[in-house]
Amino acid sequence: MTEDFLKYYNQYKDKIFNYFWYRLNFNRALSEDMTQDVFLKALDKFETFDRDCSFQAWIFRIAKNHLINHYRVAQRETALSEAESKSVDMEDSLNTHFELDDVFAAINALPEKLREVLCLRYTDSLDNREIASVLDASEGTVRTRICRALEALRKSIKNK
Amino acid sequence: MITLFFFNVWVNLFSTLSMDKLEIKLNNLPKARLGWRADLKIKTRLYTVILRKRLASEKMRFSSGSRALAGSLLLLILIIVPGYAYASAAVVPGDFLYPLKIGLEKIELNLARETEKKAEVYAELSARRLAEAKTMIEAGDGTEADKADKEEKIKNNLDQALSFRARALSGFSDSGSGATTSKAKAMDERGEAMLINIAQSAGTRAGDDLVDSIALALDRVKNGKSLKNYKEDREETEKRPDDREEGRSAFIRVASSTEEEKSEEGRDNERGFNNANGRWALDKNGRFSGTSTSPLTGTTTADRDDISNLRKGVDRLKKDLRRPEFEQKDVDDLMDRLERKIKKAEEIGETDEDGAQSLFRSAEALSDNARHFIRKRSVDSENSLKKSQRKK
Repeated sequence: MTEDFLKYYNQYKDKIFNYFWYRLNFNRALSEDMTQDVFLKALDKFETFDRDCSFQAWIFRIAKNHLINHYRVAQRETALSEAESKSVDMEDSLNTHFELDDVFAAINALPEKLREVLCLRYTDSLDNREIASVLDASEGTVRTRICRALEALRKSIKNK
Repeated sequence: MITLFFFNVWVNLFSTLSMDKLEIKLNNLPKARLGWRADLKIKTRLYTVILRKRLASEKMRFSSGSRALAGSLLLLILIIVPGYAYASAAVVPGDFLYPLKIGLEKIELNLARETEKKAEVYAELSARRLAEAKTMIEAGDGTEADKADKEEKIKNNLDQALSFRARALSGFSDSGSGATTSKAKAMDERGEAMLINIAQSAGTRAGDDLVDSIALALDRVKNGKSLKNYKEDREETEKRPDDREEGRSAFIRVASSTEEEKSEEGRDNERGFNNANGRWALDKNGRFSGTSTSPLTGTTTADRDDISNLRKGVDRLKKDLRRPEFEQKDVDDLMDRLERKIKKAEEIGETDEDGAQSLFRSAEALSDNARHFIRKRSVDSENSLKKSQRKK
């Protein structure tokens, strides 16, 4: 049981870290802390995990809920230090991938629902079924949202 | 097969060609990896939690069933063991629970604040020592060494019982309550009954010292004393350094002085003697009553007349006990003991007055309580005896 969990950890640690990294404005330290919290939460609830279901979908759902909680708290106490580190990390990252800056800007301009589905699809490499499970929506909805997000992104880049 | 391969290649090529620039860019978005430090930190935390969970589950396993049972058992043992040790006469000197019993008795004694209450506790302790003595006697002798050791323990118990009795009576006397006289009387009646039981269990098989101790204790409890003298009695016994000798020695000493008082107060009536002229005979209760004057009472030297009086008394006792209902072997054994004591007292009378006096006192006490040490014949043997007498 414990061995299973550690296997899962090794398999998904980078994906979960990446998930937070994109959503927390490339803040490495915060993403690491959030990754740790998510795996500790998952370990705590591992007994309730249904082995017939996808672990990836399950852990992403935990990550998503944890992120929502984080946003709620962050809204109440907007830490200056966090804001500073955000900008620094993002700047570094964008410099590294200069050719993607227009894409990042366009993604950030998208509405939350479309941005989320796009990130899950392209940065976290989840398939439609897993995205549907994370977002608690149908696969059809996911497909539609991805199409709409890509369309909006194309329009946004074209306009620039 | 080849067709299927080409089909797959065509599908991949089509999807790549159909993928526009944006999708390629999105697919090429950088993927961040967890740093090794963070990885190590998270793993450490995970291992710690896993370990804690395992320990907790072990604990849970015990707490659910076994721990509850073990706890209940422990609680039960903590209540039952001291309770058993405290209340049971089966816990005797030498048992591993005996120190616990003594400890609890001390606590009980310390908790009793009032004089009367303390006296009641002493009375209870006296009865307990006698009950333990009875248990030890009834348990059998074992080897010769065991027998000697056991008899020594029984004697100690009798000494302690007498000492506690003296303290109880002193307490009853000090409290001054009217009810204390009846309490003292009840204690002595209970003590007498137990000592008679002890004497019957010991019989003539017991060693000389033990028989003497039982006889002297019986003599003391049966004869009784007025409550006003018990305080003095206790003070005297407390002065003595050796606890083991306290009971018997105090008895010999106090008994002598009491005899003096009793002779002045008309002791004959109090003891129910049926012959005030020094004749030894069984009284109406079946007990042997002694002379109106003790062999050495009030004197410091062995008196030849007293010795001859005691001898005559023993001879009469011997006749009285020559009855079919008594085991004659026991009677003979007891008479031998009495003879030896008197003879020894005669021998040492000139040189060791105290020793001679003690021997006379013990001889007197033994003859006084001789009946209790002698077994009665069984009904079958009695019937056969009667038949043979009829035939004659």
